[in-house]
Amino acid sequence: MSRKKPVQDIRTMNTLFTAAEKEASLIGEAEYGTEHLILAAFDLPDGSAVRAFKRVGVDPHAFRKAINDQHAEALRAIGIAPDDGRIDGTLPELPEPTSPMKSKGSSQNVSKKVVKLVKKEKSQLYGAYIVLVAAEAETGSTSRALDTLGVHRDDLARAARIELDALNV
Amino acid sequence: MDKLADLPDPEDPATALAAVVSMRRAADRLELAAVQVAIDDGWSWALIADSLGVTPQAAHKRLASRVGKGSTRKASR
Repeated sequence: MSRKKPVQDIRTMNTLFTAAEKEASLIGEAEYGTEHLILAAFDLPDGSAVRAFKRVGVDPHAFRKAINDQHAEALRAIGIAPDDGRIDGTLPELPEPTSPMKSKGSSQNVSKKVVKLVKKEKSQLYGAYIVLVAAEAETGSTSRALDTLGVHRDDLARAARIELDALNV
Repeated sequence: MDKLADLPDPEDPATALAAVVSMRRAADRLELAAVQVAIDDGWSWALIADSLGVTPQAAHKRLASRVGKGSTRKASR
């Protein structure tokens, strides 16, 4: 597929950042991380992030649940019951964002690597690029969520690459 | 008294750092929810700031854009 104008990638990246901010805000987090970028990528119209996860037997709902589960498990291990229901019910309604949310270092790294890779491959920015780069991280919330799901990062990366190859013919 | 759970051993950094991330996330969520309730109950930013051990300016800068006026999700259902 021919390389479309970079402005389209900028639009896609802005869509991703806005959606990632919303994902983080919905659960009361102050910054968005790699896991929120992946959740945002699931909603991109190209559908490649969802298809990559489905290739390893995971749907978006299961990944979202695994993120929460691994946090809950880490808290239980130190004797804290997560009590997510009570906190969720008391969080504010989502206000209109007045300024961009801060991003965690992990998501900044993913964004930079994705932009570089898209450019190198003379491709368009597809959701599977987020998955491919996010799967490189050996540690962190995304890696632990994948462990919870029994998904090996290399398998997810391969699945993302298959989707990208299909889009980039 | 029940035996309290220990914090993870820093000698096991994978477990310890995972706990740090999850505690930080839980603290962010609890802070935002509690501040929303405080605002709904009429607390001033100065009082919230005192409770959090920060300046009113710092509390306002970090949290004001994230809370609503009398609008926890529970209250608006």
